[in-house]
Amino acid sequence: MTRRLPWPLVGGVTIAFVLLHLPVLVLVAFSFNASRYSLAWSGFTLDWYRVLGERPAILQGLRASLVIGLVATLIATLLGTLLAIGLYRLGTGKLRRNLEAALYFPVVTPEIVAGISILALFALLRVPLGTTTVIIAHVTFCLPFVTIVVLARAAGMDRSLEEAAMLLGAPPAQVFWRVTVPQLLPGIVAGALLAFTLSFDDFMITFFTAGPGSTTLPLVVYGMVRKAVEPTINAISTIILIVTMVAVAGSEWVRRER
Amino acid sequence: MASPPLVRFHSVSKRFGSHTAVDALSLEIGRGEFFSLLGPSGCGKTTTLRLLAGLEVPDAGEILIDGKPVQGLPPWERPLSMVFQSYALFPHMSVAENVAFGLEQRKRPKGEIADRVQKALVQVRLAPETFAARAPAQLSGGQRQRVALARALVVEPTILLLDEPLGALDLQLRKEMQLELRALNRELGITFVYVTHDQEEALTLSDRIAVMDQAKVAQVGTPAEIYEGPRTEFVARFVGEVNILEVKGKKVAIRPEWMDLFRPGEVPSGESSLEGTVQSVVYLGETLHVHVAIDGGETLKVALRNEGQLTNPITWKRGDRAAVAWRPDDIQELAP
Amino acid sequence: MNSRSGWRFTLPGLAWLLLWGGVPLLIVVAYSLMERSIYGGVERGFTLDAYAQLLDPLYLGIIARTLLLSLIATLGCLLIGFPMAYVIARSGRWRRWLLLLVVLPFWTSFLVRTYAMIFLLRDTGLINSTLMSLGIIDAPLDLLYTPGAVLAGLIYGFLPFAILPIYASLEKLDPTLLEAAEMLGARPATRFWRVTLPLAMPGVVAGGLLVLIPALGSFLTPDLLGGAKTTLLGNLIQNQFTTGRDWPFGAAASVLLLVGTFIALVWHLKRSDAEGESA
Repeated sequence: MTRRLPWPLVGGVTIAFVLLHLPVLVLVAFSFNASRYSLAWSGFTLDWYRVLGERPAILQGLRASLVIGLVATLIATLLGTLLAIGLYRLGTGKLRRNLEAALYFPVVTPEIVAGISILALFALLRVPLGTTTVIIAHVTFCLPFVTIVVLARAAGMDRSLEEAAMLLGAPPAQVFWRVTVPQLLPGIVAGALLAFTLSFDDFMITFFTAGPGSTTLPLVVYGMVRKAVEPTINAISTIILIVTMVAVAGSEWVRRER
Repeated sequence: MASPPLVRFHSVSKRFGSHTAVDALSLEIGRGEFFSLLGPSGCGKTTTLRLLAGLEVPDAGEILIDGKPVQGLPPWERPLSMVFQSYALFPHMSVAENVAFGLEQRKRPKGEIADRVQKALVQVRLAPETFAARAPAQLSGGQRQRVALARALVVEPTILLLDEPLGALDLQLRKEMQLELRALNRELGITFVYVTHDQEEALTLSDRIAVMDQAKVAQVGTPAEIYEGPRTEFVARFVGEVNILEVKGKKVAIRPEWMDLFRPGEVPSGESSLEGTVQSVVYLGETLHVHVAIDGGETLKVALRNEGQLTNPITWKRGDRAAVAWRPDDIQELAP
Repeated sequence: MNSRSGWRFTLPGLAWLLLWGGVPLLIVVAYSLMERSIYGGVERGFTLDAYAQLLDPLYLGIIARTLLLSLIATLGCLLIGFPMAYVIARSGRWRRWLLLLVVLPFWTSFLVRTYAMIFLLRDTGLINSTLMSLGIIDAPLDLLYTPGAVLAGLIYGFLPFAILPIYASLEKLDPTLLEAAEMLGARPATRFWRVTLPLAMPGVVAGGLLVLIPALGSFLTPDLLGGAKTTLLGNLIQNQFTTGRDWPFGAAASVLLLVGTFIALVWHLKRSDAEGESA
């Protein structure tokens, strides 16, 4: 029986939903506000976006974010997918369950600890901080997410397809490339997009592992926010948001397509 | 019905969107009866039960319990209890806590509750010492069913509603539970309203059956009335096996066991017959079914009692010419 | 499928995680027991000085404040998140869209969302401007750089983490259980307290942990919204590895955070294992 929910409950929850999204909506809205200092709306403008192109720091930040994001995503997706396939092939024993549980540790470790710990390792190894160190750090925290997504996809996979291929005489390598991987592909792509999102948005870990030439976009924004609030921050934040949402939307779309 | 009916449906209708689940349904259920709602999936029997329970509200019509209209009343203000198809035992409560739930809602004192819970478990043949503290997850299907029954009976309802409660049990257990349910109905004097799609079950258990088809009641009657006197083709086909013939422009139903087989020309006088060729003989243990293709049309099924195929065999075989005969009084005329 | 060849696939990924994830943590533990170096970093020498420093009232205060704010934030997220999850679970057709609305902020950059809070709360931010233009106040309220702002930021930031597990629990709830309860005489409130809530508890606990753990280690929120007055454990740790130059102390504080996280996780796993056995 579809019982009506009490309207105060629905009303309250609706307000909660609005409040949950209000700050970001306001931020985006005011990235188009012509007025620099006051909050009075004085006209629509794209000036703050145009200005971004004139700030070398921002362009460098964007470049660094994209390069690091792409490289880290590639490595994390490769290693994460292999890890997922390996876990899947381990069946359902104790080892598998323990490894899967261990996989969640990097996910729940507070970011600050992840950041300083890897910094300590780099210091110990006397590795100078730069793009490489950031990439290594990003791969480390993105990898488990890729694995989780691909594993979820593998769990829903039809095992009998692999078995059918084997019965038809295909050797293990063929089964892998022509049956397993294509079936996992939506999960792999979804995981990759997710990894990119996490890498692109990351602040904490990048903060500790970035060198002078590898300041990513979030680091640039952080610096700007600490100095002064200005509409260009709104503009660049909006861009970050759009990039993220496109990636996540793509990830979800791919996941559902098959 | 000797005393006034306990439950009355007056032209009750219920729609879900564009689908009519129950269409102007009227029926009466007597005090202490074991009353079954029988029909195929989607016929409206479960909706009818839920309307009586108060889990659904009718769009039209009246439902009366003991003369009082109840269609506005929530379930707890009606003198009834329900056993669900999936048992619906609270997984986070023990067996005893499950059974006690209804009594707690009625604010009975703790001592009384403990006492009645004990008695209820014993009544459904679950030893309290063993089962009271167990969680539903630790029970077998049959045991869970008993707990669901105990939970519903402990509140001493006037009417007990059961929504296909035995569906998930295996055959042996089902037959056992059927007998127990019947016994409980007799002992406790509680009116049972029972939903099932299993016609054999309905015939076994019920005092009266309402056969439902597509949101309406096709026929109400005792098992004998339903089986031996079906009034529509649907009822004739749904309950038991049947042969449907056209006689003098009217459709009639003849149960296979009302027919007999003779060699052509040996049919006793006074009996009607049709000639044909034997197609197959199926051994069913208690009976043998002989399928005879009648000249000019259909295949009839004749059920012959098995007097012992090893000692006193029936010798009909495929290809034999035979006459299927029946007494003219035994046919049932069906509504058009 | 072949479990013998298969498991080798795990090796590269596991090796990477061990090297770049596991070893660093061991280093942190080691550093927490070493001497502080004047050049920043550490010097050889075993000492418990770093942990002793944690017992300083100043730092105990920070730890206490972190714990308190995180617990309040967790409570807030659960109290706000539960009704939201409940409505979503009962929303029928709109379920997918509502879930999307919840998940969206989930994947948005935390930095951007924190900045959005600043934009809202500052003296010339939206809240103050609106209140002033409506004539309710004369001078802007000090919303930013207060513990309240940090709390608001934590709740705003972590609310989706609470909603999703609670929703998952509620979604699995069998509606016939509520009907059975109704048949037995339970009114709506009783049905909620005795059937819905107990069965949603696993989700509530999971959601609570998903808020508490990151909250304990949060840096950005107190840094940008709290200012100097509201230093939390995350800020303390960050400080030691940048301007403070006291790596052992920072490591000790990190170990404290890790231990807290670990305890919470193990407790949760043990608890859900126990429930899994009886189910």
